[in-house]
Amino acid sequence: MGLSDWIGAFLGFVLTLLIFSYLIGDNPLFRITVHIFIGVSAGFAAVIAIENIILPRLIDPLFSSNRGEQILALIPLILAVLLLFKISPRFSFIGNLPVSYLVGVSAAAAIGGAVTGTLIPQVIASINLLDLPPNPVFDGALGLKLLNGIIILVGTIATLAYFHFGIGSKSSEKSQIQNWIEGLGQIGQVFIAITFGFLFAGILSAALTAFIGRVVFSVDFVRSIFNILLGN
Amino acid sequence: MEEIYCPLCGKPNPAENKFCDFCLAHLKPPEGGLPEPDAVQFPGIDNNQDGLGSHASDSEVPSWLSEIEGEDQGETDQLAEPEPESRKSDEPISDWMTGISEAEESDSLSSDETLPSGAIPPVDPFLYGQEVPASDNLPEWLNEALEEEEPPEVVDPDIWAEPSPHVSGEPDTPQEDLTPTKPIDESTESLENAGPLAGLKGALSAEPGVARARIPAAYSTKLKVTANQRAHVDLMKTLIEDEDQPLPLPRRGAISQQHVLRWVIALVLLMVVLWPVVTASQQMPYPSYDEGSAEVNRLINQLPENERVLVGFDYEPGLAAELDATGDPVIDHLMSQEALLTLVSTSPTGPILAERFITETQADHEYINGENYVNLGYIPGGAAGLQSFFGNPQGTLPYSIDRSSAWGSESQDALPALAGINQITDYAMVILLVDDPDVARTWIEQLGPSIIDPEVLTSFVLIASAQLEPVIRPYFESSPQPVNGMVVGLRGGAAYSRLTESDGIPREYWDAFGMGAFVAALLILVGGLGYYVIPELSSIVQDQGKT
Repeated sequence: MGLSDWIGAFLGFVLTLLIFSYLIGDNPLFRITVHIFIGVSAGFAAVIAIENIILPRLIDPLFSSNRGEQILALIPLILAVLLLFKISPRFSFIGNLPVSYLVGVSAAAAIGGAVTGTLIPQVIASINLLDLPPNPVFDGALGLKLLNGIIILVGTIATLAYFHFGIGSKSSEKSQIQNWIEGLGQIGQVFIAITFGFLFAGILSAALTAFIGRVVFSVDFVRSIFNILLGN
Repeated sequence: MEEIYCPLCGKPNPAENKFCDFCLAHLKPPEGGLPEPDAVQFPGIDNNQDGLGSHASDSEVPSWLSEIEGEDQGETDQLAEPEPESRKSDEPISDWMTGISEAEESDSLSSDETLPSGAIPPVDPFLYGQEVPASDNLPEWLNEALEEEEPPEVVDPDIWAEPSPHVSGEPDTPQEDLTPTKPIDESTESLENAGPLAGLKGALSAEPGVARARIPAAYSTKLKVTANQRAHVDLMKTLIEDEDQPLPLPRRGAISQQHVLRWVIALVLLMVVLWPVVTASQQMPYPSYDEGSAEVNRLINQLPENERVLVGFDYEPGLAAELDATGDPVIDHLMSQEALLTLVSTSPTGPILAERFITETQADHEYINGENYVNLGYIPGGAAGLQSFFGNPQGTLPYSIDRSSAWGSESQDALPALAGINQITDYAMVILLVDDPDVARTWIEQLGPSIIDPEVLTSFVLIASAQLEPVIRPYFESSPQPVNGMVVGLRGGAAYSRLTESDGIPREYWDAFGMGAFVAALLILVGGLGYYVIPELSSIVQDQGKT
């Protein structure tokens, strides 16, 4: 390990301990560490934006000898300058043009992707689960496939029924449809609870792994310090 | 102090004033005397024209005023002014004007015979000077108001004794409108002493127009509210003040029960995790089989040597430990196949994490930047940027992270990892390391439609944080399959390590993870039971005590 590695490891060890100090409650050391993390992240993001985007994609083409590149680089330059007007409340309307362009392009990409990448494929996949082959032979695999399809179908409908908010009828007695929807909603509640449990288990697992990573790092650092002190 | 009265507004002013402090009118004739009446002649201006002929038409006179006029007709006759010469001129007039003139004359004769044109009907003096007796016909409140009201100042009739230099027969104030006017003697008619008409006799003065400016009436700025309204305002103020006041939190001791519980849980977890790490225990067996990991292993095994693979590093530094452990056996396997890697990220911190992963976590493979891999850096623009990159990678990211031209040119060959790549489907495999469900879904949605095509041989593999499994599993298990394989969490990484029989980061973490997860689940179970059971037990004990 070189000197820079040692300094980096030492800083990492100290900052890890400062984060763990949250166990005794919110304290200035914990806050300082969080602020350092946010500041470093923001600074690094700015450096990446300048080094990886602004300089090679905007500044360099403006000063290149290629006339076409220069003209093409003027478009993002103008839009970027217009975007800066958003800082001023008085002239912020000038920045609406680049903002509308950004929002429009982003929304088009996101909606198009959601429809063609998630909605349609998932609907087709749900249909395929219940789509029996011609002359089916009912063995264990087909039975499991059908069971899986039925569970997914029931889960989808029941979860949607749980999020159905209708207007109650004036009469005190509920109609048959309302009773059905409420019953399905209760089944949907079970599916939602299972999903949340699954999500919680995943988050716990991720957090535990991150915790183990910090413990392993700290133990390795302390061990290497001892090795140096003991002359090994 | 000597005072003089303004001929226009009648208000007192200091004797040395030239102009009225209230209406700005001349108080004295200008020095040097007035110009001769004939010295200044303006074309089109008739000196005798006073313009008052149509000042008060009968249609504008209210009925009550007409009745007053009828009662005081005798007085009015004395005050009547002869009709101006201009109205009696023999100038030829058109037919339509003749009609109007006749109508006016007939009207005036019928209802206002005693009033000459230009004269203002007099007002009953009791309105100003006398007390108004309470009448049974008036409402009570009006009678009270009249009793309380002070009578206005009576106009001093002596003001007519001295001929005003300004009097020209025109009433200047509303008060004068209602005041009996004195007939104007032509011989004593004064000259104009100001403005462009100065020196003309009996002319309409331009000054009064300016001098009519009045000091605006003073209205009280104090809000008049009733007692009831004030009570409502006070109530509202009290409500708002209460909202602003923070409720005092219950005082807690420096070390509360919650603190103790937190420390105990942390200590237990730390001990459980620390022990296997310190002792380097590797007793826990790997998970037996994981379908997603097995599929990824099969796909990588099928890759020929020196195949080009795109790897996306889309995770934050906070979860680097988990993604390092999960992705370590997969990337290790990939590098052992000598795949040529292209690294990208849609997160600003992704490129540096990718560089660290290749050079530190996989240092054994000794991959060299520019030869075995290329880091193209950050893809800006989110979903739109990804779509652009998948369609045109050269145009979207023309340079590597060290700002060198990565795709080559006429004089320079492309880097080995990018040779022959024109679109995303030219890669044999796309691998994404991700910790955010939204980012994962964006990649799947933008790349999925291209991958689903059966003619496309590119496979898409996810190495994801454990918290993403509910989101990405439907894409993996659906048919058609936009995600061809997935390694999820440390458990997935451990399963992959078992398949490749490698000892990497998952082996180092696995024992601590197994024990930690077991203790965490136990704590949740015990805590949940305690939360529900302890109150029940205490209530049972209380019931028994009562009985």
